[in-house]
Amino acid sequence: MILFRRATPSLTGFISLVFLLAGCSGPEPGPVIDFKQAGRYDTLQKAALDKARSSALRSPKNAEDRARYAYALSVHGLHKEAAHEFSNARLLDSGSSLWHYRTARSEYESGLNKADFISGLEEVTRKFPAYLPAKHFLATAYLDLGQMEKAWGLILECLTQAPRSNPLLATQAEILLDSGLHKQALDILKAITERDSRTPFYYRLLGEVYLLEGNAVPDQVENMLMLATPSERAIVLDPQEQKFLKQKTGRDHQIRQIRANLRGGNTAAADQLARPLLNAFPGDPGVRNLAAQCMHAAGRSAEARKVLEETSSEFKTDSSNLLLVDILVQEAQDLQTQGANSSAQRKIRRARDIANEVIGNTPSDWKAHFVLGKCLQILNDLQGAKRSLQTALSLNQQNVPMAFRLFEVATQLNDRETGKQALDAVLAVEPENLLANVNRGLLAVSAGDIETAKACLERASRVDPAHDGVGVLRTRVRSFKN
Amino acid sequence: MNQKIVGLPPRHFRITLILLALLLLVQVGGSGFQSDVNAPDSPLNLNDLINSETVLPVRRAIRGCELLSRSGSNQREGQLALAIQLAAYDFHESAVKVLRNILKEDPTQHDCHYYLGYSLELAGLVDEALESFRRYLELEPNHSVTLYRIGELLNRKGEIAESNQFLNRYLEKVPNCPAAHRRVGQNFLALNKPEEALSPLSVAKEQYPLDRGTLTALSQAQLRSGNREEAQKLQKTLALLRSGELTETPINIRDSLIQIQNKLNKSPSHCLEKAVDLQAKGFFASANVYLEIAAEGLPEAAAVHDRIGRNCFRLGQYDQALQAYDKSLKLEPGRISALFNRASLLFGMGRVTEAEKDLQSVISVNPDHTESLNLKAKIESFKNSQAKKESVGKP
Repeated sequence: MILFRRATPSLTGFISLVFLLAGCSGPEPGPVIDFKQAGRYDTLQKAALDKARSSALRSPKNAEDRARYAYALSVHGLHKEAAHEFSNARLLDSGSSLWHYRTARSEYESGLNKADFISGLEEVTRKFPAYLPAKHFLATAYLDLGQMEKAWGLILECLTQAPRSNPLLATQAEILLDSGLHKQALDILKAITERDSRTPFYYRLLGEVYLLEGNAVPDQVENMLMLATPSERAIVLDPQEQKFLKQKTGRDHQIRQIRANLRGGNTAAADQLARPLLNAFPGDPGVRNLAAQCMHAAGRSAEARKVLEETSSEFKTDSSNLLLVDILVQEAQDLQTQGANSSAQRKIRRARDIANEVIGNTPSDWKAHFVLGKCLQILNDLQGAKRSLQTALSLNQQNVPMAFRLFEVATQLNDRETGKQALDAVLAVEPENLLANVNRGLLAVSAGDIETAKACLERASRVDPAHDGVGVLRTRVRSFKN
Repeated sequence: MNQKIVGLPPRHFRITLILLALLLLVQVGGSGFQSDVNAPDSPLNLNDLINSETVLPVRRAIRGCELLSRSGSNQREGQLALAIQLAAYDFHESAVKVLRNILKEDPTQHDCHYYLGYSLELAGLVDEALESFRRYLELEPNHSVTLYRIGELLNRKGEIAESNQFLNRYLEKVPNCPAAHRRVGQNFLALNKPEEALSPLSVAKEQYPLDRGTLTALSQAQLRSGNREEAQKLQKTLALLRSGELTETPINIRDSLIQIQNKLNKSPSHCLEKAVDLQAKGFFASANVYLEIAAEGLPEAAAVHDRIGRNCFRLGQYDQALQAYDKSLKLEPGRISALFNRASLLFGMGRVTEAEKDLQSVISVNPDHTESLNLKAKIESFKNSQAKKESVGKP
């Protein structure tokens, strides 16, 4: 009895503690949403979404896991579902401005009539007045809705917080551009792209200004816009966001990454990205061609040829055919160095026929003339090779390897005039090119044109004064004087 | 009843009064523009010009420009930009108001006189426009296009001989301008000098062989000069133009103001025109910039999204192409071209079943759609070769 009496206060305390803890337990989030009935997504995107969803299912009360899944949904355009998941993250971690902002943003993005959803964003900026990502996004929303006064006022306010922020300045430029003040927009965009040359959105805007103003070379504007689209508007990022945004994937996204790597000369990275892409889309001819291109660039030409040859004939294109020609030419050259001449000839004849077929389809394709020139050079038809390379060079005067190839053929033919033209083409693109300057200088000496020879020597010496070729040219120039 | 309304005039008198009041209102309404342009001090109210019905890019352009003209460091420059922007969208009445206000504050803004003349001309106020252009010519005697504009306005006023004087002065500076040659020729016709009209009109025709105005005037000049055969030839061309067998190429005049306005114009029709031009030159990414602006202005136009999709496809941006076709088909589910384009795209991505579904939709509506039939044959051939491949190695 005494024991019971003594125990009673402790028991009461324990029960109170249980009740207290039960009362303090976090809010109950909603179920993890299924995305399978929503929108259009491809194999890679589905895999990324599945992965994020699994994490959320494993720990439905973890705000970050719910948010990660929400980001996976958001970056693949499933905004309605993203809003649901962000709202759960917000419920679990109500102090975070990020989840409030992203919930409101996804609700806005999913809305058919956007104006109906702007109040959610306004509420977030009222609640977190110093929170830049939400304020910036709201400014862009105002701009999209045509509420220029609010957009301008808010962007100026944001800029007082972060005057050198590129995303904010880009929105300022966007407002100026939409208002017809192209010159002011251009000044801002030029400054931004000088600081950040990697964000496509800034080039998209810059390209638009050039296009509307009509005072730039149309080909260059087109190229700029082509490389910059599709691009998403840059919004000030919360420091936490970067890791979540990396979930973006999909056929086109991966293709863009691969192409960017190929353009940057990073063939190994391109090849690495191309493998899972090909696994995900084995029947997609575009993916097959790109994967083959990566394999060829990474030195796996036999595999590349197999991928191309296994592509159904209905999907063969001029570019895939030209890639096959290029592979065959390389294989033939390898065989030639190994002494297997008849196999090399067989391959090169097949390559020549495909190249001729492509030229028949598109006579203005410089690449086709270039590879045909290579084929003919290997087949020892030097006059034919010269003609093809000259045609290719007339169609594209910017390609340095092609001009060098023409120089090589011209040297084989002992045709100095063509050699000179080929080297001049190289120097027009790359005035400091060492080999072109050395060879052009040597040709000039032999033609008695000492002024050109001296100019070439001077340029070559600036690049590498100790180079053997520069030494030879120097001696020839001196001996000419003497 | 009448007795209850004490002090009111008789009924017929009241009716007359109401009619008079109505008449006055109608007159005030009819001369609304006239009174507005002549009231430079009345503030510009954008709500009178644009509302929620105005297409979004135009609304943004005008509201944004007006806002920035108020808040920028150089307000005069901003006001001038606003006036040009307003004129670009044919809001000449408002442009005139802004320009007059600028000139009132700073008469040294020479260009304003030209811009004012232009907007007044397009608003149909010939005398005022003429006055502005003459003033501008005093300030900038070397501005050649002003001579042309004065010549045109004098023609409209019926002062033909004087019109030709200005046009000839203009032609001394810009000898190849076909528009001026055409007007000089037309003036000679009006002056009953058909033989003198022949030479300038022939110059215009040489540059613009399918300009209806030139051909009509030249045909008359030939006829009235006794060259019936030549006139008949021209009449034949005119008949072809009328029937639509030939397409007219109207003469444009080189005017920097019009060029600026063209750069600013974001109306859907202008953007679509630009996009078509760029597509024809193979600039698909550039065309899509204009098409996206047009789509903002015409969000319900399935054709615009279809076109964006086609350009994305040509650029290899398949995701975007698919999205654009989806959007187009959401707006117009039976749109044949979008269904066919989406089928081609899906087949090109190896998504054969989806492609077949779209193709079936096209063929069910239009069984003779040649491109679809060709694609269907291609799909069949692909499926057969796949089946053959799969059967190889099987017992």
